[in-house]
Amino acid sequence: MGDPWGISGPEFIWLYIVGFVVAVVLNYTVVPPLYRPGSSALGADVRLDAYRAAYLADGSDRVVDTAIAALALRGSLLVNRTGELSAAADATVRDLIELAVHRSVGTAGQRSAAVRRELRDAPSIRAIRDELLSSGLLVTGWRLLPYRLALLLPVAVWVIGLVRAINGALLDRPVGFLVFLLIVSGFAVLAMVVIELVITERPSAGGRRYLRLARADHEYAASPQADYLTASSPGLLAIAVLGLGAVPDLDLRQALMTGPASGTGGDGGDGCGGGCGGGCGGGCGG
Amino acid sequence: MTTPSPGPAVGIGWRPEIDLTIERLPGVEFVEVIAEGIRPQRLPESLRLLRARGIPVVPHGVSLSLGGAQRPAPGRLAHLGACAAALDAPLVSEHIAFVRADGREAGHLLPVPRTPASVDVISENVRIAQDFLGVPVALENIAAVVAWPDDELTEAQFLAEILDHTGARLLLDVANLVSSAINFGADPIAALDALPLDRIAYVHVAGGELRDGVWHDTHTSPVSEPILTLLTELAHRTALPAVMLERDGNFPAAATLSAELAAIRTAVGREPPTAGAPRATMPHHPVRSPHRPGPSVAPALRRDLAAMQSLLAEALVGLTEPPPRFDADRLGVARSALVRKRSHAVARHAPAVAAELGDRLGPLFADYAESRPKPPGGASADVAAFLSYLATPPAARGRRPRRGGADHRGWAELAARPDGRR
Repeated sequence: MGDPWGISGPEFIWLYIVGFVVAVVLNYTVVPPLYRPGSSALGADVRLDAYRAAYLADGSDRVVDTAIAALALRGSLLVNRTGELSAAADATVRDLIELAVHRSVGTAGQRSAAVRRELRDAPSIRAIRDELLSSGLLVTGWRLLPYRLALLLPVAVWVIGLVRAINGALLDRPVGFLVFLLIVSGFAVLAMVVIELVITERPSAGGRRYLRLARADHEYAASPQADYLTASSPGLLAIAVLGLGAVPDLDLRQALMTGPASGTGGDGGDGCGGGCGGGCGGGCGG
Repeated sequence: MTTPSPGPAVGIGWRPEIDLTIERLPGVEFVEVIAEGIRPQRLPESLRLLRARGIPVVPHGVSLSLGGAQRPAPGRLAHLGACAAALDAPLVSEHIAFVRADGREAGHLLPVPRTPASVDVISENVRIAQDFLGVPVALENIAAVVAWPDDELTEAQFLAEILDHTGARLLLDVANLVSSAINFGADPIAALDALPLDRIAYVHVAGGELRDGVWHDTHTSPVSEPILTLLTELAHRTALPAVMLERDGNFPAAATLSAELAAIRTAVGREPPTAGAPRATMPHHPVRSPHRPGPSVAPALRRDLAAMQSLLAEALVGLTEPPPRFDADRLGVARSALVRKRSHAVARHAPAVAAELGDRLGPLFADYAESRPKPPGGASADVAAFLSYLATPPAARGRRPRRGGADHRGWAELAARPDGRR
């Protein structure tokens, strides 16, 4: 009795592995550049401020992070070692995004994750998104279809493997290793599909090109001496496209990137200092 | 040849919200930490870093209730002592105030009736603390908005007597002297005349707010000029060992805090901090300075004081009408301030509740707290009780009846009874 489909089991295993890897690579590297919604000329000569660059890089969360970093570097936002933020009583804000962040944080203290959540639908950030969509640097809706269709490549390879496994099982051939591969690659495909469905917007080819160039430009821009004063400052652009990891101040960077903490561990005081934050209107007395 | 001291060490109150900011402030030579806010077995990283730099950290207690009728609780003393040990602190500090009476937490530092009997009770409490802690204890004068009707000593005389009986150091809060001047017409210069300034371990400076003619020691505002002027006067009279800024909320930018510290440095005659300049250090003191031990306190004295303090505490948390001969308006101010403080603590502890209620939090919490004292268990218990209150239909919430003065033995009658029992 010959091999099913004229291919031996080991040969199919190799073909499946190579086919799956090629399909995944094609999905992420070849298909998107082939699809260029919006103006294909965008990218090289685009000049964006930090907030627009931040939105392109990682959506509203990165915009909020950029404003948090700007405020913190200027001293208008206080950051403690557990990553808790509080707005300085004498803070200055320079634009609408900073104002939204400042209001969200308040003087009573807030974590950056909560600020990000609260501002996801803020009008000032929606306006940035709309602007990027209209300029073709960001795509959404039906324009994302090609990205989703590209997933059919790895899905198709996986289905072929599944058919081969069923066929092999019906012919009493050993299919254990193939089933193992199908389980592993099945989870990978599932994750890719879920991620793709969760993404509701992404940079266009022009937007990606802009980000690629900006990241290369600003990789070394972040430094304590850099200018972080305005949304078009090079230091802030670096944080926008590279993330909080580009904050030049090591302690501040670590604090901003700290996740939820367990607090200082005290049992809380009944008197002053034990929780007067946010305007201890009652007076401390001590 | 010894290097002349550069002047008083300048410090700031360490608060977790601004730990990183404090670490980077120039010229900070010591910090003070609220002992109840830390766990000595797991010190915050920021405090460990400051200690590693050689910056002294002074644990500051707010819950020992040294001015209370009860002896200081061993558990609370143990915590303060453990903080001092973990931080290798040169001393600890606490207030001449009571914060609980009859087992009920007042949620604030409350004034003690300034009588010779109180001096005896407090002195014994302080001696118990000194024996337990094994480090010098500095005692702080508080800011109050209510006064006892039958004070026999001025605040300065009262403090001086206690220091004389205990050999404790003085933590002099100049802002609180100004507060006493505004709220009760006390003379801060006369206070400086009467206080044993050579006993000062360090000095507190803080900002507050004047509302309707009453000074609230909020620690959330910039330090005002009269307070700095009094600090300068104090610095002219004695060689101050150390002085620090207290800021507990509404924190400004680092540059503003730095400017406040600079103003304090200027007020005490220190030069601006420069790289390489010698750092002022906090002097070490013996656990007890020479003193004149007071008598052992008779149980009846403690019972009398307990009954008096309980009356004031109950009135302040809204359980009873103001005791006779107290200034009812001032008690109202103090009660409102306590409710505001509780509502701030609730907002901080449960930001989601605060966000949900927005501007309605203040009025709703005031309704809830009107006759409901803070339950045992801290802010989280208060949040839970407040939420239960909100969940109750408004018509069914009711208001806990407040016991009138007539339900209590009158203040004067109580004070006149030898055992003071209710």
